[in-house]
Parts: sequence; structure tokens; C-alpha cells
Amino acid sequence: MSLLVDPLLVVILLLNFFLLGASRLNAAITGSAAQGVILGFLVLLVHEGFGWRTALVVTVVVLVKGVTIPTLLLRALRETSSRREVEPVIGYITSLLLGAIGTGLCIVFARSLTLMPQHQGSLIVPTSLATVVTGFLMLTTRRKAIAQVAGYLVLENGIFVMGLALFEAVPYLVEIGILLDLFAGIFVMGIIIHHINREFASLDTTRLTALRE
Amino acid sequence: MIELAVSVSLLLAGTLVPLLLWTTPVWARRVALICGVSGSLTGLALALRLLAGDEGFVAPLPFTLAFGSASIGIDALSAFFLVPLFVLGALCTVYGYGYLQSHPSGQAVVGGAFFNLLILSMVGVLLARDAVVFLIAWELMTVTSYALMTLDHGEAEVRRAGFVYLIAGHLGVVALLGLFLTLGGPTASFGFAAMAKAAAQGPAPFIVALTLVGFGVKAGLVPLYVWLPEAHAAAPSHISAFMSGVLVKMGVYGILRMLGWLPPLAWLGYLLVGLGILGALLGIALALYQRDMKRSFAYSTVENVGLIVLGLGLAEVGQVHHQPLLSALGLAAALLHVWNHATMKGLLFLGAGSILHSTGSKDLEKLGGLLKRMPWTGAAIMGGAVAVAGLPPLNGFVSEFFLYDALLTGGLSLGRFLGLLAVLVAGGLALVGGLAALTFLRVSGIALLGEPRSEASAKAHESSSWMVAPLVVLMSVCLLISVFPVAVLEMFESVMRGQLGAEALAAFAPLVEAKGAVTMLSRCLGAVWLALLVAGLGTWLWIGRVPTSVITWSCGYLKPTARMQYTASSFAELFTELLLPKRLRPRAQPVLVKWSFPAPTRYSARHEDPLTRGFYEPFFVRWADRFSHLRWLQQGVLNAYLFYILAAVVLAMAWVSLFGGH
Repeated sequence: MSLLVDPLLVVILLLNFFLLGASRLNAAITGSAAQGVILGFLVLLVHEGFGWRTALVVTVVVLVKGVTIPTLLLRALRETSSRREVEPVIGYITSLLLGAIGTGLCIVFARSLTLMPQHQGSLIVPTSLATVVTGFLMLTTRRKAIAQVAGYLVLENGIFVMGLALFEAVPYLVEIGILLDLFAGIFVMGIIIHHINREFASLDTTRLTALRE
Repeated sequence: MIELAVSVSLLLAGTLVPLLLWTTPVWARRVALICGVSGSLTGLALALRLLAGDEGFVAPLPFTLAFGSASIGIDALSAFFLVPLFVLGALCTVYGYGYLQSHPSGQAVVGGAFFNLLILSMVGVLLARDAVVFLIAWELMTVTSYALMTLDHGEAEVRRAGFVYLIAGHLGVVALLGLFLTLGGPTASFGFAAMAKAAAQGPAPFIVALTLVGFGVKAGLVPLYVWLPEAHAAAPSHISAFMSGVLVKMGVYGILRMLGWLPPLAWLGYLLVGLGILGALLGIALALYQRDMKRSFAYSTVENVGLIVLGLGLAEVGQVHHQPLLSALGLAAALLHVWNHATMKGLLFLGAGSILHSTGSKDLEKLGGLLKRMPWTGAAIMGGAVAVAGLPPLNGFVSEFFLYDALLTGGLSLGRFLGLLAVLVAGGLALVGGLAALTFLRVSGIALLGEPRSEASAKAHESSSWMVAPLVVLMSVCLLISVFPVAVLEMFESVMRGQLGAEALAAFAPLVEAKGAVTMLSRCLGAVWLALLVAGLGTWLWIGRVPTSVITWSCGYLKPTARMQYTASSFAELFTELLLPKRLRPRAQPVLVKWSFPAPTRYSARHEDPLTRGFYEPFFVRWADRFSHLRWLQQGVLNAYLFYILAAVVLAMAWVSLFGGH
């Protein structure tokens, strides 16, 4: 495991805060994409020995997380002409604070877990948990569907960080997991965006309240 | 076990390929048909080979699931239930191919593909050798059958029935989860072998209660059967046939499996006998007055499950009191009735489906005169009715004969009080038999004989041969079982030896003795068949075919009309008004005739299930009211639901860091 891993994980944690504080949808998308690219390179660093499997995973992750999905989302953003997250459920400062508390709790929690010796000192598990919590926070506090998709991607990134720890233990699990989750996430969210936009002429998910039982 | 692999792969292909081929529905349906039939027949070969005495196996699956390794296996008991599963599976596949032809093509494709998945999930239930595999297959079975049942989801009644079924099924699974956790939890080993050991020492009343609730919901045991009439009436007919014939038996399989694990318990035996006879009486009493033909058959399923459970209870009582003959007879009756009920109720439901398909109605008041118009279907329903009413010379008689034999053996060999009880239960069984004869006389007489009561049934025509052929096959199976009961009983030997436990050798000798009775029985049945054949031939040769042009039951009236016949309600009225307790009667608006020259009047009756009306509905309504102030949780905002998930995750993490870990 390279010395660079922990600094990169710190960058991911910082990006979490950036995402929580970002009011513009553009920034949210770019932030989650940046996390994706860093994750791709993390695979390279965590996995010793460079084989075709590592190369493939890195390429796919960087392409999918860093290029394809952001491009699609940015296009959706242009078409739906909603630039800013106007009124989040909780203000940006509050969500930043919540994110900080969550990250702290995750570090405490990770310490209470029984981990393999090589992961005990590393930031992998806390970062993963903190990123998942950040994704959840974005999902719960944002109203715009696109901001929620970004939140979902952050959540996925968090799960992916956890996958880094399992990369060698469970063959192919990580790859299958990534691809399936991403596919499902983008597919479902794509359909939701499309339908909400068509039916309600707006991307504000709170207007869906009429659909409750 | 190459057959098993072939059968499972064919069924899997029959599920996936049609769904992929959905753009060409014709081919998709053909693939589902071919894969379903060939997969079922391959599996049937395996099951029959195992029943003939081949050794079963237990093998770990090549992957692990939660709570350790997963394994499957097959033994005589699994093979015993696989036989009706594959027989009815193949026949219902063929029937469904014809039945769904008039449905929209998308529904027909889904119906064909999911039916194969349903068969596959039941194979999983029967082959599972640890709790995790079992529960996965069990849930898959519930969900798939729900999807098939609600194929006609355009109708509100179907959606309601599906909802009730889904809730009942999941409440049952909660009990099963509790059961497996009780058995496997303390040692954290969920293999069947380990759990069987745990069951022998565990808290028996608790285990029995969970078993009876968990499996009893599927089996349609007496207080838990309420989903069954709704579901069987609402489902497409081949699905009703399959559910009634096989799916309900999965509950019986579970109970049998648990009986094999538990030590013999006296009170459990009495409880099963009580539940059995009560279910039989209640089921047949309710079956008698239903207006909906399929609902009447569904209540008769409750009755027949009662008879099966009665047999199981007698076997248990026999084991406790060391009466090997009693336990052998009771178990033989129960096992034979499982197969018999699958064939005869399959026959009846498929016949009812044929009528529904042709006339568009399953309401008895709108049918009539169908025997002339649909001779094959009519003959099948007549045969099924004779069989399920337990009348000689068909197969239902054979298994009920065993039940009587077991009860009378019990009456002679058990102690004074127990003996008296056994004879009293035999009296109850006789009442069930009489009511069953009346029920099926009513259904077949009203639907098939007389004159049509509606335009649609006057224009009825015989169904396609896709639908008639399975009827003919099932009818022949009924005949075969009734003519060769000894051969069928011999197939049960390994099941009975496995089930009656350590007394295997002791139980085996009386089985031979029972065979003496069976041989006599089959000779009598043979004689009846021969007499019937001779009488029929003689009548045919002697009288020949006399051309008649009188309408049925014209009775010398000058201008008889179809409205002068008995209606289904009037036929049942004597029984419902005089014999049934008030709580079980249909709620009727009485006809008030006030004056000597009566004006037009109306009569209406509502046939709700008394248990649903009297207990379940008030119960659930009250609890729903009590929980109504929790409805603010249901915000309808996506963010709120996501927040609930986040809160649950954070709470779980906090719990672990505070109390768990090191």
C-alpha cells in the first residue's frame, strides 16, 4: 500500500465538505466526478502489482465516474435549465456542520470495528463511512432531482472506497458491484428525472407529495 | 443426479428465454411451454426413481450464503411431494398455454415464464437442506404465485385477493423466521440436520406453535385459511389448480418435515386431529352454499387439507400410544390424500376454468346445461366431483377409506376415552363425507345438468384441445390410483419408514397387514368398475341410442322455462337454514310477502367468510386505527424516506460503537 493512499483519502473527505457546501448544481456534479477520478487512481495505489485486471478497473472507473456520468448529468442540467439548488431542506452551513459531526462519528465507529491488520491504521474504512453519510445527507437535504443524483453518486463512491479494502479478498465482487450499482442508480434516476420533468414541468421532488398513499 | 440438473436448467431456461423473447410472443410462449413440460417430465422421472427406492443425496451448493454454507438434497419425502408438483406442473403448463391464448400477449408471455419460475421455486423449497435456501425459495414461491394470481389485475377483486394473499404469506414467513431462529440460532447452524437435533431437545410447544402458524398459513389450516378462498377464486384457473393441488401442499410438507424432527408428542397428535376434523367440517359447510364455483372448490380444499392433517394427527397419536397399525394407516391415508387431492382438485379447477373460459362466468346461477355443450369438460367435472366427494369407485374413496380404517382401529385399540373420541371423530368424518357429496352434487348438477340459465352458457362450446387434454390425463390418473391402490401404496414405503422413525421395522409389518385391507379394497373397486362397465355396455346394447328431444326435467309441464329449475341458492337453502349454525350462514335479506297478491320482490344474500367477517376484519381495523397517528411518517417526500434510512444507519452505527465491538 502506497504512502499516497491516505492523503488521497483526505482529499476525498475534503471533497465531501465541498459537496455539502456547494450551492450550484454544476459544482455538485463536478465534485462527485472528481471523487470518482481519485477513486480510480486509488485502485492503482492500493493494489500492488499492475495487471490487466487493475488496468481495466482503473480505466472503467475513471471513464464511467469521471467522464460519462458527469457529461450526461451536465447535459440533463442544460436541458432542464435549473442551475441552483434554490432552497435546500437544511441550509448549507447546517449541512456542513452535520457532515462534520457525521465524519467524526464515523471515525469513532470505525475504531470500534474489528478490522484486518493491514486496514487498522488506514483511513479507508472511516472515509468510506463518511462518504456514505455525506451522500445520504445530500440525498435527504436536497430537493432538486439532479442534486439527489449527485448525492447518490457520492454514496456509491463511499461504497466503492469500502470495496478498495476488499479488492483482493473477493475476486470480481468489486467490479460487479460497481457496475450493477451504477447501472441501477443512473437508470432509475434517469427515468425519474425524465418523468418528473415531463409530468410536473419541474425537477422539484417535493411536488411528488401528491403521489403518497 | 443428472436429471435434476437437466430439469432445473430447463425450467430456468423456460423462465428467462421467454422474457427475453417478449417481442415475439408466439415464440416466447412456445419456448415456455416446451421447457416447462420437458423440465417437469425429467424431474418426474427422478422423483419416481427415488420413490422406487433409490438413495437420495445431500450436496453443498458451490457458493455460500448468509449464515454459512448452503446445501440442497433430496430424500423420499421430497420426492413424494415432487411427484404431484411435476405432474400438475406439466399439465397446468399445457392448460395455461391454451387458457392464456385469449389474454393480451404480454400477459400470456409473463404467465408462461413465471409459471416455470413457480415450479422452480417449489423445487427449491422441497430440495432445500438449510434454512437460508429454504426461506429464499419459499419467498420466491410466494411472490411468484402472487404475480401469477394477479395476472388479471384489472379487476378490483383480484387485486384485493392478491393483497390478502401477500399479507398472509408474509405473516407466515415471520413465524417461519422465528422457527428457524429458535432451532438454529443458539448453535448458529442452520442446516436441516443440525436443526433436527435442536428440535428434538427444544421447547416443543413454542416450536409447534411457530410451525403450525408458519406452514399452516400456506396449508390453509383452520383459523388461517382466509386467504385461500379469495386467492383460488381470483386466480386464472390453471393457477388455482396448481395452488390448490401443490402450493397448499408445501405447507403440509413443512408440517411433515417438522413432525419428523420432533419427538412423538401426545398433545400434538390430539391437536392435529382436532384441527383436522374442525377444518374439514368448516370447509365443507362453507363450500356447500357458495355461489362462485371456484370459491366452492377452494373451501373444499380447506376441507381436504383438514382430512390430510387428521391423518397426520392419527399417525402421531399412534406413535405415542405404540399402535404401529394406527400410525401406519393414518400416515398412509394422509399421504395418499395428498396425491389424490392434487389430481382431483386439479381436475375440478381446470374444468371450472374451461367453463369460465367458454361462458365467461363462474357464477353457478348463470350456468346450467353445460354437459350437452361441453361433454369433455362436463365429464371431467363429474368425475372430479365423484372423486373429491369420496365416493366409490374413484380415488378419493380409497384415501377416505383409510381414514375410517385408522379411526376405527384407534377406536378399538386406544383406551376407553380416547377410543370413544376416535369413534366420534369417525362420525364427524361421516358428516363431512355426506356434506361433500351434497356439495358436489349441487355444483355439478346446477352447472352441468338442466337448462342454461343465461345467454352465455346457452352458447357455450367445448374448449380447445390444449385445455381438454390435461383434463383427460388427470381423469386417467384418478382412475389409475383407484384401480391400483396397492401399487401406489408401495411407493410410499420409504417415506413412511423415514417418517415413523425408530419404529421403522415395527411399522413396516402392519403396513403389510394394511396392504391386505388394500388388496381387498382394490378387488372390491375392481368389481364395482367391472359391474359399471358391464351395466353400461348392456344398457347401450340393449336400449341403443334413443333419440330424445325433450328439455331436461320438463316433467310434463306444458311450457317449462329455465327459471323453473332449482337455483344454486335454493338447492343449498335447506341445509343453510336448518343445519348450519347462525354464525356460518350467508347473510340474507329475507323475502317479505305481505299480501295475497304479492308484488315483485327481491332476495339477496352475501357470502362472506365468517372468520374474515367475525374476526380478522374487526381485528385489523382496530389495530389500523390504533396506529393511525403514525401516519405522519408517511410524508410522500423522497427526502423523508431517505432520512429514515440514514437515521436507521446512524443509530445502528452508534449502537455498535457504544455497546458492540471490543
